[in-house]
Amino acid sequence: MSKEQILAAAAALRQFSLDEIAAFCDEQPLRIIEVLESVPDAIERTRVDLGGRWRVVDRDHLRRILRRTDAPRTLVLPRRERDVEERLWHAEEMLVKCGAEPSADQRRVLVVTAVNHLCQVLARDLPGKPDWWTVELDDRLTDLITTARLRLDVAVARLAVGNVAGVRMPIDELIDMVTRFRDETMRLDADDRLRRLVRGFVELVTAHLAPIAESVVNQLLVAVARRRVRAQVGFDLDAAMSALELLVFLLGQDSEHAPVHDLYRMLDRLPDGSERSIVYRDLLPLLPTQLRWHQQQKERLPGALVEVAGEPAVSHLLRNCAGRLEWDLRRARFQSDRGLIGQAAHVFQQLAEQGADRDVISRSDQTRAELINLAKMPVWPTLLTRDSVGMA
Amino acid sequence: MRPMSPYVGLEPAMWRNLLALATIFHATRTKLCEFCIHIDENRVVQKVMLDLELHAQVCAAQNLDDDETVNRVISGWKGQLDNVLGLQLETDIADFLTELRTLMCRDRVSDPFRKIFDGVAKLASAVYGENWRLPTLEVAHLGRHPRESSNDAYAVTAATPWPPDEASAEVELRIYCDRFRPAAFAAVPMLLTHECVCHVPARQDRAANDSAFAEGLLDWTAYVYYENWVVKLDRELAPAARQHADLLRRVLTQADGPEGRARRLGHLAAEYLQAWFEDSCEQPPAEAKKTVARLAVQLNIVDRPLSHKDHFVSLVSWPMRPVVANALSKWEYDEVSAEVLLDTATGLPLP
Repeated sequence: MSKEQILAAAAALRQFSLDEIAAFCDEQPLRIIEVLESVPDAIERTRVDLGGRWRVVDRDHLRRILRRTDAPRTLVLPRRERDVEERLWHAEEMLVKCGAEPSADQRRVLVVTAVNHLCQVLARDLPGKPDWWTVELDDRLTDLITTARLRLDVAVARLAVGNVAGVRMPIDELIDMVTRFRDETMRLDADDRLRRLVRGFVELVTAHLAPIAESVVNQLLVAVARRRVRAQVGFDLDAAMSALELLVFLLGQDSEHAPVHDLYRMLDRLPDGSERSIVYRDLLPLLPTQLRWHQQQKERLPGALVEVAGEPAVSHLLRNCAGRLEWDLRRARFQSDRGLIGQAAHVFQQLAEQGADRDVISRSDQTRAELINLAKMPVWPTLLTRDSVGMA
Repeated sequence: MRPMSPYVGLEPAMWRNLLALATIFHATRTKLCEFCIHIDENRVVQKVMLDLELHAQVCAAQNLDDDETVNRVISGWKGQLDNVLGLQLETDIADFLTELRTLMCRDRVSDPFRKIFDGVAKLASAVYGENWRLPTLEVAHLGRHPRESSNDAYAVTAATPWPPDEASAEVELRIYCDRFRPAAFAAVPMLLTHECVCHVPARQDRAANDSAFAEGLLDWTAYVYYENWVVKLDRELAPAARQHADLLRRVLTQADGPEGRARRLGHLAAEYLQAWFEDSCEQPPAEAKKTVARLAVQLNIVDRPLSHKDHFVSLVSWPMRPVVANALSKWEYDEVSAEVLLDTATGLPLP
């Protein structure tokens, strides 16, 4: 046994010192030398002056000796189920996590790595079991895959690949994918693993949406909306998927019809004298308790814009706060979503403290804390243009 | 002069406590396998272990120097063992405790942790040659079990803080002192082997616990070396060190979470590579196993981002992708270096 180990080590190392080969086998130096010198046709000594080096001169001969001592050769491969399970988990984890990687180059490598693992799993599920490196993550693949879980994985992978390549998915395809994904998600148990995958999906889908206009207001509203929908996945998966569908539909519209433009916009005055408006929902906690207003249940932009109707003083206050927030956002010149949300949280604190209303301060504190959490959330960066994939 | 701890991360009292326990485990190392079994199964030995822990804590708190602390722990525990041996015990337990009592005074070393570490570092330096970084050992106290939920016997872990210096690296052995028992002591050589083979000489941009290369493929490699080193490190500790390295491996590879998965995935890659060298290069199994270890070691010192090395692991499969098979084949015939193999197989642009 020990002779076999020494010769195997020699065959693997090819050229080696006594220390090097000793680290590769469990024998003492004198025994190692004895074994090496017992096969002069296969191994020869060189550089005696430097404490002794050896080199393998006939590897085939050495292997023949090894085979004589080795047990009959049977190739041992890992079990297929073990391979599939590990790769799938790893691929899913990577696809979701690598969005937080700050370097765009690194992110590309991580996505390709995850896709490699996923393709190896897919190849075993596809008809004819093709070589995994020939599997293409295109739309046709979805119809061939037999399990809902893998279809979800492919959707996330396709979005991730598009994100790092800077290639935007057409809006119709995106809407179709979200609808299909929502249906597939409902068929599966909403465990932590699925929720992580859906969070990644929400981030990636919303990252693919084209910016409606170059404005800090738009950027803030979309940033808050996508993060809130992502957070919603943790406690209400179905509602989150519905919100995502609406978000994609609304943000996918052309600029003229898109709901995102302002932090506050008055719609009309109702016969009872109250005013109806669309407002950034985080401004509402700034309204003092004595003012009368009510909110429509359905959000105009999930997680960001709501419709309210209330007495004129409500509109007046909301308009002022929105103006102040917008002015501050423009002045601060933050480019990242994270910076904008953080700045918004800071402005809310100032606005709340101006009124010195305890209820307002308490409610605004909650909003501020939530916004700071949203800002800290690591998400996939929004897709800007080809080759300009930045950090959210 | 007040007694000091040789390790920055350990309070003097904590150090003396650990030193006393480790000295006794080292002295009784030929019996550690049995000791672990009896601790799990026999109430008398459980009590004896608790006595030792309590006694070590009390003596360690007395501000004595290292030698005196160890002397008092040994003599105190010896007295407690005598008391227990005076009771009516099952024969095998009585024999076992008598042997412990006989062994506990022999083979005193000033620092059992450093003794193991120096042995591992010397062997690992031969593997990496001129690419070796000089490692230093730090021992630190952990406030809780490293895998709290599993509550296994291995209340010890190790890490190599990143980034190391160009020429040196620090290995930190982290011990949850309240649960430092024979099994944890017997696992220390493998933990330090993992650090020295996988992380001390690594050339890359970052460290990541979820890396299938650094925590998986290289971990498999560390075990290959460990099989060969365990007797050389300490012939008398070898049976326990081997057994608990295997049990620790099972604990770590079965762990949920990204680390456990990275480990399993990297081990899978190693098994595929071994099979490929056997099948495509007609290497005998023993040679193929060592060839994978040699490849992993060479890739570890290629100065490329860790993500590139993880990418390589993702390409290893059965059957092997032709571009990877071709690159492996050239490397096996010494036609290209591990660096070229990595770049060719992954096709990734250089950073």
